[in-house]
Amino acid sequence: MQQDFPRTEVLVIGAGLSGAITSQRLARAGIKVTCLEQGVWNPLESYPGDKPDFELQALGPWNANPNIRQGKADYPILDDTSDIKPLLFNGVGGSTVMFSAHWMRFLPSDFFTYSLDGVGTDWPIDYQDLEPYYLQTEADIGVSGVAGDPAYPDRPDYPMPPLPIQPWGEKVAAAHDRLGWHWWPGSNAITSRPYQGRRPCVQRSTCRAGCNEGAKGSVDRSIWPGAIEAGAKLVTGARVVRILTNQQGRAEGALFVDESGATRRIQADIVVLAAHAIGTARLLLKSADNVWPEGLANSSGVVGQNLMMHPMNRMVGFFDDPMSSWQGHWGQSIYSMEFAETRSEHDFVRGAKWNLSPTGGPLNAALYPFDGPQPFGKGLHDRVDKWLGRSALWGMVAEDMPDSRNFLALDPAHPDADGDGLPRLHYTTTENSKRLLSFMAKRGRESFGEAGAYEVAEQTLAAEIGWHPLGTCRMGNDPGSSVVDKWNRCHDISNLLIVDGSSFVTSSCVNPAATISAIAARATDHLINFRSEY
Amino acid sequence: MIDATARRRIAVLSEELLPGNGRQPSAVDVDIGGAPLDRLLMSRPDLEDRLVLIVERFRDCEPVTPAAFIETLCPQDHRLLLTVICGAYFLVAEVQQAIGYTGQQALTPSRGGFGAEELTMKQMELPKRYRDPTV
Repeated sequence: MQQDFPRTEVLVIGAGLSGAITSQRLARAGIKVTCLEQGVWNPLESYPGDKPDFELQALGPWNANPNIRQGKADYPILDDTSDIKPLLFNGVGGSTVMFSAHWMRFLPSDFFTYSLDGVGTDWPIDYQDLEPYYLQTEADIGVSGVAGDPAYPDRPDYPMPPLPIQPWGEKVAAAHDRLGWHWWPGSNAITSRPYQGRRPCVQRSTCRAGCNEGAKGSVDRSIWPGAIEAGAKLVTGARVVRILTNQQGRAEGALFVDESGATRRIQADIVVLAAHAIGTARLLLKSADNVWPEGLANSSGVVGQNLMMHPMNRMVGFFDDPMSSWQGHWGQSIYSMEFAETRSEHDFVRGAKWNLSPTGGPLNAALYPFDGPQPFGKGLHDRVDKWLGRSALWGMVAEDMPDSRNFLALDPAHPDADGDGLPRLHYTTTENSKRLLSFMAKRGRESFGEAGAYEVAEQTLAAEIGWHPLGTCRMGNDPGSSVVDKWNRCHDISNLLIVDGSSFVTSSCVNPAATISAIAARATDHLINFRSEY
Repeated sequence: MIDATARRRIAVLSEELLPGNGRQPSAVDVDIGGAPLDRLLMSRPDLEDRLVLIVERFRDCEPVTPAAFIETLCPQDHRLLLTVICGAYFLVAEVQQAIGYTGQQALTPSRGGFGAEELTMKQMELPKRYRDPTV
């Protein structure tokens, strides 16, 4: 039996990055907002980073892959048809609880891939539209970095100076200087100074499983406390089953299962989806009915399509010098945009962003899935010996383009708890991505070689790297080929918004969190200022 | 339940995976099947059931050598066994001391520079390198 939940003005679904920013802005504007989150709010002390068995926990209960983690708030995501496995977190803070906090704006060219390079689709918005929101959300979340990067337009100073780039960062920076290649101190959503009541980073290097210090800008720490203080209502353990619409074709709320297992109904004037590119598309498809047989707000047929995943390489350089490289924010020490833009001499289009990081402890060293057989015995000892404290890691993020083979759909052969199909990812790495990453691997060897590494190991086209699912409800001016307009309002349902990474048109080669934040902030401001039109 | 016999078999397998090397003790030297295994399973009780199955298969394969048995493991079981044995091994204080690992420590934040400031200034002086679509 459905029990009514108190009505709200704006219902936000998902308490991750975009849901937090949206809820905070609405609450500060005096609008009654309720956010439903299927997971829980984990206390700082529950994060495993300050415990001796951190590495073991990160491989299991705190693994970023929900299919491995199998937490109470997780649901299976069918990924045997995907080259890249999804990584995400369900709980207050969403994937920011586990992200590495790299904070990177899109490049201006990222919004014009079709006009400039003949691939993908141009966005209906551009860098200038997002620039004020990039600045605002950097301040809200607390980003450290240094202005003046020639790879980007001019900008004001960051809220905090950059974190130390560490000995490995200094080696590679010097190498890139000699090579004439770009590099820059890492910009991270990690505090380098006391900031808005949060402590600075202590370089423990356990960022990926929650930050025990609260220094990482995961939104459970950086945004939600302020949002609740401003009046936002956050309901945890609330799993949304369906978006509800009325006979006038407007969204009117949602059905959800609360933590007692009871089915509740909540009514709202406006519904905002902020459930991640997988969760949002899944919910729209689950909400299919007689009026929307292909999924809610899906007259275009585009919901679930255009899935982009950021294929990646990882390369580890081994050095003679002890650098204690199991410590250090993780986080990016430095980054390089040397090969981020399209160059005519390449046999691929677009590019990759490189991020340098530390390399973790002995268990990570022993079990790292490099290309080639897993060593044991003497070989395993040798690997740990040369890795521990004497290595650095380049992650290379390739820009992904929409491809008709890459999409999310519900698989009726595998029903979920509600009897709907579980989400299935269909993803094939494109030939462009393969050529791009092959090129980057060769350059990565040059980079580490110039920095003094005596050996380099590779993990090409890594599978466990699906941090950035994007594009499944993309933005556009044409309702026939997009789901939301330039203000993130669904073309089909004017009081239904989508503010997460599913709204991306193309993926850039940089981490999407900064752009997700800016898009969510901009869409929410429009909602606040033009509320009567929604 | 990991009984005494299973612990002995785990120790035999671990000697193959993590022998001593003069600098570090072997997994057997640190009694991997004893307290370290208990500590591992307290951290990761989810690994126990499959570990028991692997050890029972090893029992059923005897007198095959540990190396030959390890070769027969599917990738998932191979990784689980390594996770258990390496996970238990690297939690041992004696091992950590031998490899020079201090654990993931909280370090006092530096209030100095971030490193490579001069090289940063050099980058800053370079021409802009992004494509401006408005031009």
